[in-house]
Amino acid sequence: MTRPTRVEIDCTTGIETILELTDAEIMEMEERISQHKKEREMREAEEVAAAALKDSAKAKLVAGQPLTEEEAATIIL
Amino acid sequence: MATSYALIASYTVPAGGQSTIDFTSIPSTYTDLKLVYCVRSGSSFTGGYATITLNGSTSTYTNRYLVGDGTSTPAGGGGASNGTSTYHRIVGGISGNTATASVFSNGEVYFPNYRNSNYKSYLGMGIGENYGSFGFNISGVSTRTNGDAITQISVGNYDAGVLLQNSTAYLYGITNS
Repeated sequence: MTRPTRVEIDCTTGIETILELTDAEIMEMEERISQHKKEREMREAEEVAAAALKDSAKAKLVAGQPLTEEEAATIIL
Repeated sequence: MATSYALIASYTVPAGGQSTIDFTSIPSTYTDLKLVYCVRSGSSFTGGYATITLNGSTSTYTNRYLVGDGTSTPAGGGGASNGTSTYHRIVGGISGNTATASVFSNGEVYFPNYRNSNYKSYLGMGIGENYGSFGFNISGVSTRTNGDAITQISVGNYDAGVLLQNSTAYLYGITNS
């Protein structure tokens, strides 16, 4: 399998050098990919929950029903 | 007003992609630097973050940024001082490989007084978008709490996916006297 590479552009000479990532760099890259995926999934779950709370708060306001504290916190005054 | 605005170096990513674009041996003949990029990530997401690294070091960064898409409440983010996480090197948005084909993200980062011995503050702004189905803008200020002159700037993306073919980066030198 081809190793990922990075490019160095020497701004003084203009020479471009393609360098393969080291084992340590590849491992760090894979950890970041995994970590970012977890953070993204957590953030998406939070956004879905926040949207559900907002919808519930709106429905209750329209119906004249009391809101929970969490629902009330979604209202920006 | 700048009296000189010169292209120092540029790069276009060929087929196969590159994990980062690294401008090295940056000359010390300018007052400020400006990095302009247009990139797309090979990672499986629609929108993510562009990052930069200075002088090959991943430590001593602080940043505060704002994320806005025009519909949701703007979010903020950033890292504590002397941060070492990639999170602390976010400078803008980036379109990922599940965005519509051929969509690239644009951004720029301005480095004033890159040669002096003070901490290095810089301003970044970049967008991630997907042909009208979504778009977001990240604007932020960052500081590297290190007084070394900037001699190397690397462009990458937060989750380490490759920068795809036809991604570009341009480094400009700006002189004001």
